[in-house]
Amino acid sequence: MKLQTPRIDVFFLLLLVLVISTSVPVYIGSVKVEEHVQRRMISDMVSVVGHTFSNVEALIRAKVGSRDIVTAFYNNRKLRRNVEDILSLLVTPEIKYVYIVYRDKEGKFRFLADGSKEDRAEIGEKLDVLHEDRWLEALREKKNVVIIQTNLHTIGATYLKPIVQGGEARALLVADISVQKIREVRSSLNLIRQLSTGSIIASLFFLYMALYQYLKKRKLLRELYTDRLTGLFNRNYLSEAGPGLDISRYYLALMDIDDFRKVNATYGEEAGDAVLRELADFLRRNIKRAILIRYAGEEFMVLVPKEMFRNKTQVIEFFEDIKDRIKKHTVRYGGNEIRVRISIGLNISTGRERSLEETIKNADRALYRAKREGKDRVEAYDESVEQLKRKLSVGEVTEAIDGGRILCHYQPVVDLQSGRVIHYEALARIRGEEGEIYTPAFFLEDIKGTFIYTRFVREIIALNVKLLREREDLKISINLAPTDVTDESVFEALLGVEKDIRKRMLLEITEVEGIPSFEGVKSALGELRKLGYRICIDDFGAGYSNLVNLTQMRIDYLKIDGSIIRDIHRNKMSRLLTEMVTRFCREVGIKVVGEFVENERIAEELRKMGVHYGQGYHLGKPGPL
Amino acid sequence: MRYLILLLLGFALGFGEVITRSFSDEKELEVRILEKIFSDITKKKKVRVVILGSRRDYFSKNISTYSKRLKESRSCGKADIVFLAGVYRGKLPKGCGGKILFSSRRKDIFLREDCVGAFFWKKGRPNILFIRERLRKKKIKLPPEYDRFIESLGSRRPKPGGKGA
Repeated sequence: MKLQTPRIDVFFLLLLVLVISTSVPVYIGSVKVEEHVQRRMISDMVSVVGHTFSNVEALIRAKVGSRDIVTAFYNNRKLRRNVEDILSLLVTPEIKYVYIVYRDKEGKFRFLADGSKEDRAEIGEKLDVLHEDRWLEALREKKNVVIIQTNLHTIGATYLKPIVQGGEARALLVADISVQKIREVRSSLNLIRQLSTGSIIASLFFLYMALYQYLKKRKLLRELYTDRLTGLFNRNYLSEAGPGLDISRYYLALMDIDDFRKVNATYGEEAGDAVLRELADFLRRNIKRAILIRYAGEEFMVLVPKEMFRNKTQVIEFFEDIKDRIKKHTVRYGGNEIRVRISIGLNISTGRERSLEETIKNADRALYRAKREGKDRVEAYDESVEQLKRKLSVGEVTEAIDGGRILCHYQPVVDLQSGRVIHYEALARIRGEEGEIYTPAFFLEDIKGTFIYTRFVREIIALNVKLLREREDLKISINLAPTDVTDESVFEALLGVEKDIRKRMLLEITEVEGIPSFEGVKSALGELRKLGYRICIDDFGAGYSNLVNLTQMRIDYLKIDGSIIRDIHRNKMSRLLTEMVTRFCREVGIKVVGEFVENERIAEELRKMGVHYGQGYHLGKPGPL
Repeated sequence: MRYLILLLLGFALGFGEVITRSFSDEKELEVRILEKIFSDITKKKKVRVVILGSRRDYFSKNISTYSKRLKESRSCGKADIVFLAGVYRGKLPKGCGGKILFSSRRKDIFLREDCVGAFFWKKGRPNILFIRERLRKKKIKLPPEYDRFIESLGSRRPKPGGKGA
């Protein structure tokens, strides 16, 4: 989850990039142009001067003959004048000074002749030169040298030509090329360069200011989104970043410190703050890739990426571990050792909700459950589990009936001696819109007393009649409440069933104890039995059973309640009761069924007691036929 | 608006520096050379200079701008050195007589017998010249790095015999 960071205007950035990308090449280009122009100008002038200097050198050598040039110039004023006149012809606005120098015994350069029109030197006058090594190079190597003068204000370049006599360079013909032309070019280019520099400086300045503003705003935002006490994100952050958050990528946990008020009350609020800080540090250290938010006073929100875990069990175990480690962690403050416990509400079905708020609300529900069920625990909200826990409304049952989503699962009732299936008990179910199966526990209590209830019962009867018609090998028992058989519409439905079907249909009546109209039920069951239905009393022994009732009704089966059968192999009272009831039923010709036969030990006990039939997971689970 | 002002300020500072720098190099160079020469002549870190001559204002301004070690003095009384800036005709003011005399023109070395040296531009190059006899007379001893600038009076027309390469 990224912070909504301030943005630098794209247009502004593009403009800056454009300005810089044009200014920099222009600047570099201007330098190149200047160098090129300078080289070209100097080269041209050197070319002109070079030829003339060659002629002058030849002339001097011719005039001097075998005499030493330096001595000849000192001693022959006329020669000096002649040469100076020739040299002066070379002086132009571009070639500022033309002269001849030699190097004396002390290594100083001195003038021999000067053709310059201004700043004319006398013979023997000393000249301090810059780049002396290049002057010496010209003498030593006897080669022409061009020196680019960067430090002189009026001279751009100096051309040196050695006058060689007797294999030795005795003097140098020198031409100082004016900087004027170069300066003109340079000043034009300087203007371009300065404009480029200005643009670059301005762009960089704007960029700097924009960056400064960006960082400043970012810092402010960070402060706005950070909890001062713990340094974790706060709720502002959640409001800002939440809408852009793909919550389905995270598990969401809400952690709340149990009885935090007691910490504040016992040790003071500062100690409470220390606990919060410590807990925040603990979370930071131990849940590395999570987004941690101080959600409320002592409540923290943790968003952990789903890819950190292989399955939902692992994430629950992870938070169980966090909870246990926090419990063991000691916060030391003001000489006290404080320990806290936390409750965690975990939403492991994130992404199914319509909004982040709903996701948080579901985690909060789980947290509430954790608190309600004793604190110091982790409770998870799982959409699929919650869905199963949810009761169906009357409307949803109606929709199920209308939509043909009523069905039965069938559990076998087995002869305990032969192991043969005697009949199947039809167990009513509703199939949800997404295919999930609901048992009567999800809806039966809510629809009792409504018109829908009898409709539902009739639907079950009709379903099973249809099945019995299709499968002649089957016998099926259906469950009915005592009031069902006295209900006119249910009774009529039962009356309407064909005779051969009735014989294969058992009516299991849930315990008749406490029913308001026992006589009515007795009479209705009597009639139904006459019609061919077999009658079974269900759940016998679950309430305040009355054997007298049995004596007054003609029934075929009696099903002993699972709460008695379940304990039969370890509870003497259960065993005695079962034995007594079985003995009684055998005497009066009633078949006994023991339900909740969950293992072979129970089955074996029942066989020993002479119980006819058994029903339970050990003998067969309910399922579609 | 605030950005604009800052921007203009940036321009002014940036370009002012660029423009003035290109024109001030030579002036600063002159002052730095004079500063070095005068300090070495007087052996003082702070040198008080009396400036005379046609280019007095030019040098006075440049010295005050570019040098912290040279201080212009109005009278010769407390001055360490007298600097002839440009053309100065006539006698030196009272009190300047015994002071060390230095010039911005080579010519003054031959015109004024007490001028110990000069700093001047020859063929666009900074040149320094000291007269050995006059330095000796003023008991001025310069560091060895000045040897190449020191000449005897006879060197104005030295005898030929250069060593060439």
